[in-house]
Amino acid sequence: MRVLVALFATLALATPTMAGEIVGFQPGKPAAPVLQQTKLRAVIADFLDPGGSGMGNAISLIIWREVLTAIADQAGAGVILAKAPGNRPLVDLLQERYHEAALDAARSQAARMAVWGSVEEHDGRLFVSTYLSIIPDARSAELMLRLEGQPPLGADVAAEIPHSRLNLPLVETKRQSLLQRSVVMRNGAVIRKRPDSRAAEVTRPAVGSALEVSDLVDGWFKVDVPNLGPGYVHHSVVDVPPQLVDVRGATTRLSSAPGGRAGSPVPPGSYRVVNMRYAGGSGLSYEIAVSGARGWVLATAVRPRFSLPVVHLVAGLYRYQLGRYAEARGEFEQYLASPGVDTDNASLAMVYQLLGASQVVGKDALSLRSASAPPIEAFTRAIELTPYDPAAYNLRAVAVLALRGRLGEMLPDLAKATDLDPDNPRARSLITLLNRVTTTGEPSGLRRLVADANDRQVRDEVARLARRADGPSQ
Amino acid sequence: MRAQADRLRALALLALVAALGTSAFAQTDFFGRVVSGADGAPVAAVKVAAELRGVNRDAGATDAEGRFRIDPSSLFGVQRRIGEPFMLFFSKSGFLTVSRQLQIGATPTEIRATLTPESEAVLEPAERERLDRLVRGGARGPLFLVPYDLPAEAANLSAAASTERLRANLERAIVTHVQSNSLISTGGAVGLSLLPLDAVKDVARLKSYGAHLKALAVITGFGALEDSGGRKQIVMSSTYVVVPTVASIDSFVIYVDDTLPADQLASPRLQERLSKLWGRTTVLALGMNEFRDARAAGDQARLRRVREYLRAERAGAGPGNDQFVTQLNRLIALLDREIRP
Repeated sequence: MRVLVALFATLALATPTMAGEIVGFQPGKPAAPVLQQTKLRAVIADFLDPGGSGMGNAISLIIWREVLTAIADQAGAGVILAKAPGNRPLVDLLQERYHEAALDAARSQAARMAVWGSVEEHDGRLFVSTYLSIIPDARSAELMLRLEGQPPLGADVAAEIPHSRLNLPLVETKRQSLLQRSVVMRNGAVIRKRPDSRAAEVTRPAVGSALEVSDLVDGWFKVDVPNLGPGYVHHSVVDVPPQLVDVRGATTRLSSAPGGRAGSPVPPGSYRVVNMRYAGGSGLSYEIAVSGARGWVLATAVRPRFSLPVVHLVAGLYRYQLGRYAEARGEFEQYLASPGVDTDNASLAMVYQLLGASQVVGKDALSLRSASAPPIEAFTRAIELTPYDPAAYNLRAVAVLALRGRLGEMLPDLAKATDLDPDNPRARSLITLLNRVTTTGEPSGLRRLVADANDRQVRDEVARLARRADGPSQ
Repeated sequence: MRAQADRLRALALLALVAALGTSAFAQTDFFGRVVSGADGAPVAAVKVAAELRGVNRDAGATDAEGRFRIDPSSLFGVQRRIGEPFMLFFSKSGFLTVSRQLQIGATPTEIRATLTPESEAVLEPAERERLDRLVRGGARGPLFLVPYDLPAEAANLSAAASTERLRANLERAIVTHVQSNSLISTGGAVGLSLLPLDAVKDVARLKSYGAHLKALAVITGFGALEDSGGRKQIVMSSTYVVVPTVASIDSFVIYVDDTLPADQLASPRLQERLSKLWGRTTVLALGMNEFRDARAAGDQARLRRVREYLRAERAGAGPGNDQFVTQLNRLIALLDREIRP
């Protein structure tokens, strides 16, 4: 098997919380992992471009920069753009082994996931296929639905979120739609006449100023400089805001400055982002265009909308794995609101499971009792999509335990999981644990959580499942 | 006088019979005979099926003389369109299924279909050697693509480029679909190799390729240009031949028809549509392997997982996938018989 290795690490971005690197991959060279100081890394691979649209590199670069923007507030998160010298070896590998090659690329950087895909141009429209490959080890370590409580419930009150290879919907867009955006100048930004670091300077724009992009050429954004005309700025010296933000509800207020005093309300809708800025105390703000005027809104009051749904999914996974569950939920919801996401059952089921889990984990299980049905609905939807998967039933069983506190309601799912896979280790350990609770009252944290542990019918059913689970492996 | 009246009655009856006969004949677009390739003898009770505009209908069976008659207009309840593509399938246990791509004409068309007994479905030695060379040359399998037969003027790419683009897109869609599906253990890599052969419309031959290559499936298709209100459009039919791995299931064929503007042949949307169904069909075919292995191992739980998977596929199949659903139903029925309550 060919080994993917890092050839060189070239770029360290200035903002410490935005950890991005570019690496080149070449078979047979020693590995040089980058961004090792970050706890959680993802690899964005060059996109396949079978028709030679010239957009393969551009799309991976845009996704990389948008993911960086999406996780800018996540300490310990890093994103690696994986390029191949001459663009061939990595692309060839992806073309031959698909998810498996992407997982190799991720492993070579000790990353948890890899984004890759393909772009084709037809009749002036771009068709972008995107895939997400998650390292299975990462899945079992952190992509779990684990209940918490006081006293502790025990490590076995958990279920894995099972899938690791996601096929995301085909996105139809236009080159112009993908590129039309603002970029925000960082320290050291220079606008040049051509997309070349040796080309003549046009101007050195002020830090924090935003310019409109009209194209992307070899990693250089083509921008329009007021009164000076077009020029090029390298992607490494700009920030890339989301193209749009969604305003929901009536609580978002427009300010005249980032983090400034709240002014007029912003009606619900989608608004183009023209700038973004971090301000001490208030964090990130976006400048948006509202009815011909401009103003600033707090990032926490809106939902960014990135150019491709995969950015939201990756941002949600970062947040989930870093324990920012409420924010993760928002990203999963943004992903599910994207058009055409229902194309692949297994992939969609995983997103519903993540959506449900992000509403359950990180909270004391008892406090969830007042929560309404939505988390269970998300797990039910996942079962409808993958009814053959025992893990889908385990997940709903754990969620039902937290939200309803009734063993009688979770046992049918555990029975179904063991029916489909009698050796399923998660279902067996859950059943063994429940049997302990109904017979000994231990662990006490879990006993406190369930209301029907003394119900005769429930105890009999738990005992029956436990006898089956204790039986010989099949 | 009486003799004259009798003659007149006879003439009237003759005229009536002739008129009825002509009328019946005018409504029959296709008629003919099915014979055995082994000895040329007529084959009775051959099931005849027809496909028009993506819809399949049972069209009866051959009589004791191997004869059949089909009128697509009445069978499908639609207005006849001269030049419209029309498919006929002849199938009988013990023979390879034969399909014929036809066009509805202004006058009735006579067809002679020859069924090859399964035992005689062999390839020419030179053809077999050619396939063997391809496999030795690194063809990956277990899926094979025979180049589509497309009118050159319809493609906005060269035939070779559009075929390779189609292969690459289909392979990526199929393999990623298989890779993302935790139910199926492929027991090795799944790849779609191009067989650099001439286009083949004969499904029996495609099945022979599949059998010889020990393939899971052979995929191909063809297209015809037609004029629609001054605009050129291509009527394309894709064929996915699943080679059986479960003894109690015959090989089966799934067809997908598309009509699209001639310059949209390379449209990723079309390829996405095909890829999606082919991905699911491949998992269905791999599901047959699972079924076979689980049955051999007596693994009831694994059989239940396969059944749940197939039921979910059936529920999500959507309209226009009748053939796919028919095959799902057959496999689910087999599983029902194997699974203990």
